[in-house]
Amino acid sequence: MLLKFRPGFSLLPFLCLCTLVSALLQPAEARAAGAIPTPDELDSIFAFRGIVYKQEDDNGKGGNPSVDEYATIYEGIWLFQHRLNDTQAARFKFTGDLVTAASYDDAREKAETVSGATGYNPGRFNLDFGWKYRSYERFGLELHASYGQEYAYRSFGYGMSVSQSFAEEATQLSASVQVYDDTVRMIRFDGSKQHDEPRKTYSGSLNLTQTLTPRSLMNASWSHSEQNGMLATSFNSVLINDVRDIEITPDVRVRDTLSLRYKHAIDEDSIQLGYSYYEDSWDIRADVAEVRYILNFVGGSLVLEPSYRYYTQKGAEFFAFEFDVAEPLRSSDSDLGNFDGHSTGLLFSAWQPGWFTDSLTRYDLGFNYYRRSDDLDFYWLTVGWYAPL
Amino acid sequence: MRLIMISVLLLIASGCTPVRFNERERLAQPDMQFDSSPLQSEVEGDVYSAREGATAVFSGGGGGGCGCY
Repeated sequence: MLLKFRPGFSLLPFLCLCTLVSALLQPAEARAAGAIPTPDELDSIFAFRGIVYKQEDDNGKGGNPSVDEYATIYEGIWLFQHRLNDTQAARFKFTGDLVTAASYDDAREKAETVSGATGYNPGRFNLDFGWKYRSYERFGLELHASYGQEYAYRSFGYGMSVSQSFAEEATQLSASVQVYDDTVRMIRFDGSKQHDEPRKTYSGSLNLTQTLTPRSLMNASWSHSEQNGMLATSFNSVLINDVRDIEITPDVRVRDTLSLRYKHAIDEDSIQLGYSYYEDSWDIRADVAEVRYILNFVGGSLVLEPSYRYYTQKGAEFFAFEFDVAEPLRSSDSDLGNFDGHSTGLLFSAWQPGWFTDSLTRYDLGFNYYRRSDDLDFYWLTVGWYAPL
Repeated sequence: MRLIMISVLLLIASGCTPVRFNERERLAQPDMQFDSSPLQSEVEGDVYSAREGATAVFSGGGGGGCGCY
């Protein structure tokens, strides 16, 4: 049964008000004592983010109407970065999730019963280690490696990025490559188990940030990825003449995304506009438009950021909710179907004196609501803490 | 569509006039960073890429991690 838990609905305005009053009641000297730190990519920092994600599928009718798709996910992200010297820094990030989801729980419980394939494993974790270098000539190099695991999935990741600034940093170019070497445990929707299958992902991106005027700048990026191996979700199923069978997708997927963003300062505030186009070899096409407005209060120590995002997707060529015959490629995963999505969000941030550091630290509280045209709706609440050390 | 994007990009780039370092005080403020809170951007990207067919469009990527819920 879906719990009607509404995280933060009543708490959010109260917390925002408390933080606002707290900031305004501080003496001006106290607010001025620590200026809001200008971000530097090599600074020593500690950051935490907690997320509550809730997904509802209109009592089973939303998304794919033949399966339950409700989900609740609690996630925590801990990031620690230490500046080693003037040109280098090291970082460590841990991500942990607790998951309750209809399809996931169903497959896991059947797997435990039928094949004994898994023990108690309520979620996912990911470890990420990175190293950054930046020369005095504004050349940057970053390396990182990661390992993640959930009950039906293991992932090793390796990545590298380079960057260079030109024209007194008015132009910034960067490029990155990323490889994921993943293993999918083939636990099917009926609890049967087959041999593990590999999934490999190779991705690269190019990024350009250009200052346009003293009050505006733009960012353009292109990302390309190629995946091969087991790309279906192992425990997904489809209905063929009212009989359930496994999902089968192509074993290769080539994906491209082009994005353009523009930012403009309006007095103390700023606006950000974005557009992105996506296409892949599964014949999925998507357009995204986004607008964010950043309102600064009390000299930027209080920030309110409302946002709106529109997403429209043309589904995969082998997608259908039901099949008359056993097609060689088939999926009823609603994320691969045709739909539009409207997402609205509000992020509230406040810079306050920290507990164990002389610098100001940032606290933030965010809420996003996403409504999909196929009635699969979800929302997520975030709580963040960022402390320069 | 790609041609349109590239054309827009070239048009914007060709219209740029050099902005000196000392003219960029406003641009140095945190709210003028495209991803002023990287963890928040990462969370949003993860949610969107898990529930949409496309990759996380404003943060690159395109693989690793399942999130098949």
